[in-house]
Amino acid sequence: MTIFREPMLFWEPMLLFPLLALLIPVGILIGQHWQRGPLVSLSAGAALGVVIYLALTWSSFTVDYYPVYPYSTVETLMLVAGLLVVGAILLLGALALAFTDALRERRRVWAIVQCALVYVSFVGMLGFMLEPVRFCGELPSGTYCSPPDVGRFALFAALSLAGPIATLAYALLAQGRAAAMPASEQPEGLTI
Amino acid sequence: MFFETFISWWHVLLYPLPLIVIPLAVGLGRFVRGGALTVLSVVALLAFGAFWFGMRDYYTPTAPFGYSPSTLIVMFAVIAGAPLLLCAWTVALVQAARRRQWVWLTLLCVAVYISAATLVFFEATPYALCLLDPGAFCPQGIQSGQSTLAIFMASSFIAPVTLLVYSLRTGTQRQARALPDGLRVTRLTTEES
Repeated sequence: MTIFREPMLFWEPMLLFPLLALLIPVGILIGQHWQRGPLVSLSAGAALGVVIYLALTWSSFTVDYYPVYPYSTVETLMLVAGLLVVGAILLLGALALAFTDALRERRRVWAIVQCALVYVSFVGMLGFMLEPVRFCGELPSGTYCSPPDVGRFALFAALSLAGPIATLAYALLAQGRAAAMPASEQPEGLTI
Repeated sequence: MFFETFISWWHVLLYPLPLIVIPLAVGLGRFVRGGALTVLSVVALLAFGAFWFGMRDYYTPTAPFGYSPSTLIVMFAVIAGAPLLLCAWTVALVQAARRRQWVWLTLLCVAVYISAATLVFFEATPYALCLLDPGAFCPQGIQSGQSTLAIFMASSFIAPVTLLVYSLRTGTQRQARALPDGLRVTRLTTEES
């Protein structure tokens, strides 16, 4: 591998990114003891990833000077970008489980609502990447940034959280309905 | 507010649209043996095939400063293929964990990591350019040639193929399984008729 050292400077840290996907089996194993546990854990994980990303991004607005826009170091930039990637990965897993469950339970309205809100979430996440919330410029003394566009930040935050909240709400409501139904009662005339 | 960045907004709204294949595949899975997992795996396999098909002349600029057909195929394959693979993987992992098939669960994790790491390595290094554009300047140490490209392609297909095999195996097992001894299921209307 040493012969790759010179021309391939950044590929080694990039191989860590696929490891983030292993959070999906971790979430599934955590929640496997409950009926919709994997869906709850993946949705909650996605929401948590997005919330921490938002908190770190917001906290970065309190600083005026950035060696690496908009975060203080390359490591911070990688960490914060990784959080959004984690949110997106877990949200995709949650969408697959929630949509399969909703179709099986014949809750078609929930299925459509979840798809729409997950799409909205990805629009919000892409918005954070493609539409800067604040603009920065290079000066001889360093990089200086304009005040953040709070309205745009709030819009992207709301959009990004819509999907995880929808799948989490579906999982908890479905779990609540299942718990409220009498489990031992069988339909009349059914013999096993 | 968004007028000056309209083109960016157009992209923001457009890029997640291929994700619509996920609910379509899951819905179609109700009519197929192995369920949603089979359809998701097959479509992910097709998307990976489309990715390599589009990559053939991805580095040959047929339409400078615009989108060539290859670019569009590769973009669609990546935007749809990777999420499809993740969804298929999630559904398979839930099934494997519920049935306590720990060997399958481990195999699925390893297969997905190998495929994802292969694609990341291929794109993050000069291999993509060197293997797909014969006229490109390649740094020393890069082994160009059809066999190297074949290794990359084969490695990237490990995950969708493993998922498909798991899906077909478990789907078949479920159909072949008989009811336990002494358990009888009768129609609700049997006594009336």
